[in-house]
Amino acid sequence: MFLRTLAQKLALALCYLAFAGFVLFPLVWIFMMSIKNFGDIIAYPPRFLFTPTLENYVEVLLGNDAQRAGGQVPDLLKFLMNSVIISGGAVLISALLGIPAAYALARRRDKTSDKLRFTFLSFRFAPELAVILPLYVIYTRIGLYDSYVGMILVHQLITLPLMILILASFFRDMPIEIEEAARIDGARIWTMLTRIVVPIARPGIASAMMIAFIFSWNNMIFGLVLAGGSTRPVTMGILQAMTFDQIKWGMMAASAMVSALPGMIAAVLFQKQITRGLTMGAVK
Amino acid sequence: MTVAAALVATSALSLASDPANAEMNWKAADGQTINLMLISHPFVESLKPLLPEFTAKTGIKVTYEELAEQSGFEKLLADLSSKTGTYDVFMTSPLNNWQYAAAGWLEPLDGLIANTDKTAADYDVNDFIPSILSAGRWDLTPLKGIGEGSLWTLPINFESYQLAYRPSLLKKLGLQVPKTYADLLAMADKLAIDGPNGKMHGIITRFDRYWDLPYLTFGTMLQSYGVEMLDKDGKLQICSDKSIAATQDFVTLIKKASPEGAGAFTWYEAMQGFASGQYVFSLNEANLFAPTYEDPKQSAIAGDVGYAPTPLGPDGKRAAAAWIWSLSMNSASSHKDAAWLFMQWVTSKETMIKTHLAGNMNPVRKSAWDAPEVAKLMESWGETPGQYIQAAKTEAEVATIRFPPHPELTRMLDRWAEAIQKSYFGQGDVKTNLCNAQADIQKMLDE
Repeated sequence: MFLRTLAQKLALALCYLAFAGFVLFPLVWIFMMSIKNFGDIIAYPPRFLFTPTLENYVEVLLGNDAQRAGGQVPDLLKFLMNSVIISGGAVLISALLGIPAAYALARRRDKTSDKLRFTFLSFRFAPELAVILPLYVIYTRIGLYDSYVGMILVHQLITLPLMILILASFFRDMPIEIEEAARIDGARIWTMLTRIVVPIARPGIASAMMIAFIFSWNNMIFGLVLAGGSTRPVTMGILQAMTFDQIKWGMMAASAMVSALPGMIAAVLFQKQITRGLTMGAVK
Repeated sequence: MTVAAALVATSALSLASDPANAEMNWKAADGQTINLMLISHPFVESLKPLLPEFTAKTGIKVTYEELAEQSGFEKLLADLSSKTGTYDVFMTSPLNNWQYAAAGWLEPLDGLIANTDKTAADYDVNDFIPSILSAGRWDLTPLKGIGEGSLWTLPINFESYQLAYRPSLLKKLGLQVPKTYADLLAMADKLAIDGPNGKMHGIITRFDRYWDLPYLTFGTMLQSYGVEMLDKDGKLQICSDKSIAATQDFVTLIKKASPEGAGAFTWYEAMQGFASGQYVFSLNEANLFAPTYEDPKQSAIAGDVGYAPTPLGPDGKRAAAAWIWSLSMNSASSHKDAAWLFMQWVTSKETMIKTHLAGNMNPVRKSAWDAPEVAKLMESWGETPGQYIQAAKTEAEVATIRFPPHPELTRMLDRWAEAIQKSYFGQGDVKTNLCNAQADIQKMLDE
């Protein structure tokens, strides 16, 4: 009996290990690539044993020799900063607009609100390419091209529908009795939203913001067309490792590791909120 | 700087240099900002550190966007077609410009070059290698008139194609550098050898399914076999006997001496594959890969690589394609004077040499080839001193754009490339595939 459970446990552990390996292998591979020099990266067959180097990180984080000599901020850090401003700004605005909107949609259940929900949802699967060229012309004409305001606005196409959809279903799961009690105590709708609903829903809001942030962070097409030299996000920045004749794999891997960090850090910091947000109804 | 001070400064300058050119004023657009679209390329790396010099000289601020080739051209097309003028100056090529010029998106440059008020006396446009400069001229007549009409672009570097090989491996195999494609074909079977890391292959080449296949690398082989896309009467020659022979030889060569998957190799696989030491030959590759091969930090074959001119065709003829990176001015730019100052500064003798020394290959000005510091840089490349220079010069003598200028050329070449690919992958024979492609391309021409 004991043996059987031990065998079972072992098998389970092996399964977990295999799964973890499956999930983590690409990440490990990119990390290994980021600490290899070019010769080791292009070596065939692939090398697992090599002398690690920090050169790629130095170039990515501190800039190349010329940039260091000129005291310039390395490109990747600029791109990272741009991404933080754009995605952060987009999520904050989406939260301000999306929380009341989601609340209204959740509590008002009729045909109009269903249509509205569908409209918001449609923003998520509308092809960005269809709007991008007209937007480019409009943006250049009215001066929003290559500006943070313009980028934050266009990222609403990504973040706002996500916020509304996630939060609406979240708010709907909250028992309405709490709000009814509050209404009896004389609370108006705004008080109810700010004093009762939002505090209770904080984990849900945090996870919705987190997801919206990651989607916005990973977007590339808006960055390609609507951002210029001064607001280019990190997704475009990583592509700079692709030159006309070769891909600077080491730099690209190091850039990818560095640019994945903010998302990872945020996920770890908000982990508690997110797991609560994803697993809980309002007051289980 | 005040206007008076500027006048004093420029007149002092002109007195010191050339009184005939009293009007040329580098500060004419002081305080303006121009925006560039740059494609990631060693040229751009060499240019960036020089930009402050330009700003100091002219008072013009330069901002730029640098993108990978494909996304860069996509974005450029979006900007040019919407005539927003976001980019005053951009990196391009004669090939792209046939589309841009036909649409009226480019500023013609002859007037600016001839204008002594706007162009420095020592600019010396005749110092450019004539064939490379004139590739940027076109009179907008579809299918002809290349080298005639307006100048749309100024070259900044060019690449041609050559054979790179591994001297140590050839020695081991007891083979000589092939002089003709027939020589290469004859040795294709013998090139498979065992290397320290497993099986090695004979030949790597760029072989993806886009226009660059009949245009650049295999294009060089096609042209050496005497194939032109159009004959003198304007008739397509894609399924001519010569074209069929060249394509058959190429497919045989790759099947015998390249690994599986060779039909999808882009520059990335070609250059990195050869640099990693897995191949004996790199066939008709871009000759500006040499700086990478020669750098021990980037390549496993530094010190063991040789360069030779491309093999001769059946009639003992050598021909080579050329790719020319160049700078053009957006006709929708609102800073044309500043843009022109920038373009002439970049392509001036002095600045060009500085970029070559920082890795921008190959020079497009005669004076740069003759500059001792540039020659010294290239001297050590190859199996013997001066081998690279010799190979590059041999190719430069024959390298040119042999394709008919047409705004839709790349679409036609894409179709041609598809036929070559199909033949390699065993879908139909070479002749049928090429003749079908020719029929389709004829339809595009008739549209």
